[in-house]
Amino acid sequence: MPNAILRAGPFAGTSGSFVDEPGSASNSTLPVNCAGNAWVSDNWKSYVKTRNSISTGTGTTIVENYQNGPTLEVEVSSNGVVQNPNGTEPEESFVEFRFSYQAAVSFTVRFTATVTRLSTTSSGDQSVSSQFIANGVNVSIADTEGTPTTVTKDITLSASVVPSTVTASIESFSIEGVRSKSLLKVEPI
Amino acid sequence: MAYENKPKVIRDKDKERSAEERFSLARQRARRELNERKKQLQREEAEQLREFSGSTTADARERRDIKSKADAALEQAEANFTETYNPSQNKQDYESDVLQRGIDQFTAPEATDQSGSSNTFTLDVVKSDNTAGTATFNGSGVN
Repeated sequence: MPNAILRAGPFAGTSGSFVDEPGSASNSTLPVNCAGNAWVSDNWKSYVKTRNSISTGTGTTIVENYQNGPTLEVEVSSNGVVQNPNGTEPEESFVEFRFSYQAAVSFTVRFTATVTRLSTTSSGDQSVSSQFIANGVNVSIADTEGTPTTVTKDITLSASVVPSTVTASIESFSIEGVRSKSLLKVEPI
Repeated sequence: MAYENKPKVIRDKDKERSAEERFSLARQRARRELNERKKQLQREEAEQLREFSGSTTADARERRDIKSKADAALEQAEANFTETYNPSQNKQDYESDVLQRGIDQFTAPEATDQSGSSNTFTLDVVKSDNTAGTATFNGSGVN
């Protein structure tokens, strides 16, 4: 029977393992969870970042915040190329989770990435290329050309007395006019 | 000479006694002194209680206090004066060790103050099954 572990957090980062929630979300200061469970009188939380290209030539929008889970599902859609002027830049949709945890025994979380092609163009490559990385593991995901493509990856996280960080992201690219939607989900199992 | 040490005089009776007899006599003298001391403490207790006889509730508290102090003094007198021995302060629960001397501290869960007093503090923990819990400690807190 493993020993109980004193709680760190509620957030941890480069400045230490006992940090209050920062005024604005940052990927350098992450919530510390009780494995896949919420603390007493608290919520399971994750840092979430989304980035997507907006109307052509106007660049991207980045949103960072902390969201409550542990079953957490976030999606974002592209809507135009990242940069003008020649249309060679791709459209982009990106979702990232980052969180820390402490655990007395190992546990498993499931990441699910779903990529959907939202529109096509009259010419050129109609596919959406995606890269799904779950805690450092590059999970193969086929180019999406028709129906939504879903890939699941279970990650076993080892016991950890000090806050340990987990990351997962899905990033999709397509040519201008082929819009994509990237969805990332995390859940304890 | 005025400052010459005088030879120690040993009475004839003592000369004849064995070491065991002399030790026994010394113990008897110590016991007599101890009994005298206990009687003196009881007299002091009775005297102080008389001063509060027929009084109010507040005085009753003082009487109890006087009696408690007297009991403690008697208890102390019964013990070796060079040691701290307070049997009345020993634990009475199932964890008690009757051979322990001195002041015990209660650590049984039912004896722990759960009201959040200054001697009790609670910390969040990850339990052995990865669920959240709390651990309550009794002490001076985190320094």
